[in-house]
Amino acid sequence: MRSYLEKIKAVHGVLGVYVLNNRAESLAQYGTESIGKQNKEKIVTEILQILASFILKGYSVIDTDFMFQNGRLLYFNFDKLNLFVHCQKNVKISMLRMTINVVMVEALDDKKIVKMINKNIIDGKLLLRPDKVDKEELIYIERIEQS
Amino acid sequence: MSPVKLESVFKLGGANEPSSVQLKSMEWAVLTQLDGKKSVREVSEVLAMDDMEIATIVEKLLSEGIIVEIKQTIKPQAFLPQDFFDSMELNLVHLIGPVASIIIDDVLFDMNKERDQVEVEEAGTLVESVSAEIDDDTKKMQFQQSMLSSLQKY
Amino acid sequence: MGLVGNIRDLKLPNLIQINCMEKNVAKLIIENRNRFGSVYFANGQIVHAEFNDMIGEDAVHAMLRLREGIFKVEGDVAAPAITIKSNWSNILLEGMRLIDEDTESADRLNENTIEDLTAIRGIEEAIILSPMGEVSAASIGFDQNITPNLNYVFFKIDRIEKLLQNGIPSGLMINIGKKYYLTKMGSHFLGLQLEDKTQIDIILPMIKQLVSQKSAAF
Repeated sequence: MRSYLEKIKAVHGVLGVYVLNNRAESLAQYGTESIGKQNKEKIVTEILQILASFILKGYSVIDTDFMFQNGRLLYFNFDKLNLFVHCQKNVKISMLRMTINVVMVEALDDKKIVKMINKNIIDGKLLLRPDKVDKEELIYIERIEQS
Repeated sequence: MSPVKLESVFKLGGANEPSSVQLKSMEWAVLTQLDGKKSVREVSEVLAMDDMEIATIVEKLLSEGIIVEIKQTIKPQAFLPQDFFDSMELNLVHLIGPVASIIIDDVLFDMNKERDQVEVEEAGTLVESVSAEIDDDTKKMQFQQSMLSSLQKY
Repeated sequence: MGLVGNIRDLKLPNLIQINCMEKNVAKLIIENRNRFGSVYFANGQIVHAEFNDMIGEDAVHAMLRLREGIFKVEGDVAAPAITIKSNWSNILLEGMRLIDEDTESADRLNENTIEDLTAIRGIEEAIILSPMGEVSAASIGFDQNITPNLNYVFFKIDRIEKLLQNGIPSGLMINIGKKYYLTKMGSHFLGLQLEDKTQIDIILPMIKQLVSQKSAAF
């Protein structure tokens, strides 16, 4: 997996590339700990919960792009594989997206990657279980379920 | 005084100290962002201010002698050469046939550009936009793959 | 002990009507987020009112805009001054008219903003959500079934902002088959449904400019 992530990291402006399962557990990464070790799991959990909320309504999230004052955090869904890319604000975004498309097609043909995915098939809605969210958040989730 | 340009960069260091002048809160906010690196436009984005508002404040800070402009060397704009378009069209023709040049022209029209006006910085956007016009996912991927090595030159 | 309650449940116009029609001499006290107001009744009319730094009819009109607040009615309390001479029903009518006028102006702002946004090439539909997550305005084709999801996203963005050291979030693009761009606009939230082939980076400067212009009004 690392060699594929290295190609994505090579795009100018990319700080770190991370692959995680639906439990926000790290499967592979390349680049500096740009998001920050302590907070990485929490941040990724928050994002995966957003994605899970769309799954509740029968949607499937293809990709997202969080834009911040000083950077960007992109998410791509590849066949139950969660790819996060942390970038500087001036990243060549089109180059990055095309590189990711091309690299991931190759990666998903790789038997080792397929084996890793099959070992990590976890329900995308797992992180929205009542024991995973606080009371305030549960209200939002219930509204989504009821709508 | 000539009007402040949004691409200009300023920093503290004028004849006067900020404490010598009474500043409003937004003026302080702008002053703290003028770090000698961010342009006026970038500061306006950070503070979510409009162009007129920030230009007025920067003019005031300049006239009060609190900030100085950092002279920038202007890089000449680089545009994509014709052979880039020839190569792109050739790649596209192999995949989707003779409509390739029409698709490229349509995308340029949407970008409000002629072929000789596309900056090097916009090459990725152009290729991605052209690839979005390819309905077949496999062909789209092949096109992006073939163009990535050309793009890396820029 | 006098009547006690919340104006969310027993509306202020009703309280005014009751005290006037019963010709009570009374003082009605209202507390809303540490702001205190009072309305004095005598001889079947409102004779004095205070709220924040306002007195008289202006104070009554300001209190009529409140959606909730603890109230208490104290009987046999005389007004410290007579600052209101108009008939109580006219005061209520005028207060309601002013509220309607403001609501109309907010509706117009919302509609104009939706129109301006959907005029940008690449934006198909738009929605504006209030800070409470209610739909303030939406273009006709916007799929409002997704509104609870959008509210959840905005709730989460606040949390992510605190965790990341990358500064304030400026926006989020999410692709669920349809592409949406979500951002804050003043105290409200904005959701834009983008055309399929739109690249957000191309239209983002125009969106930011418009949002920046409108934010103060929201």
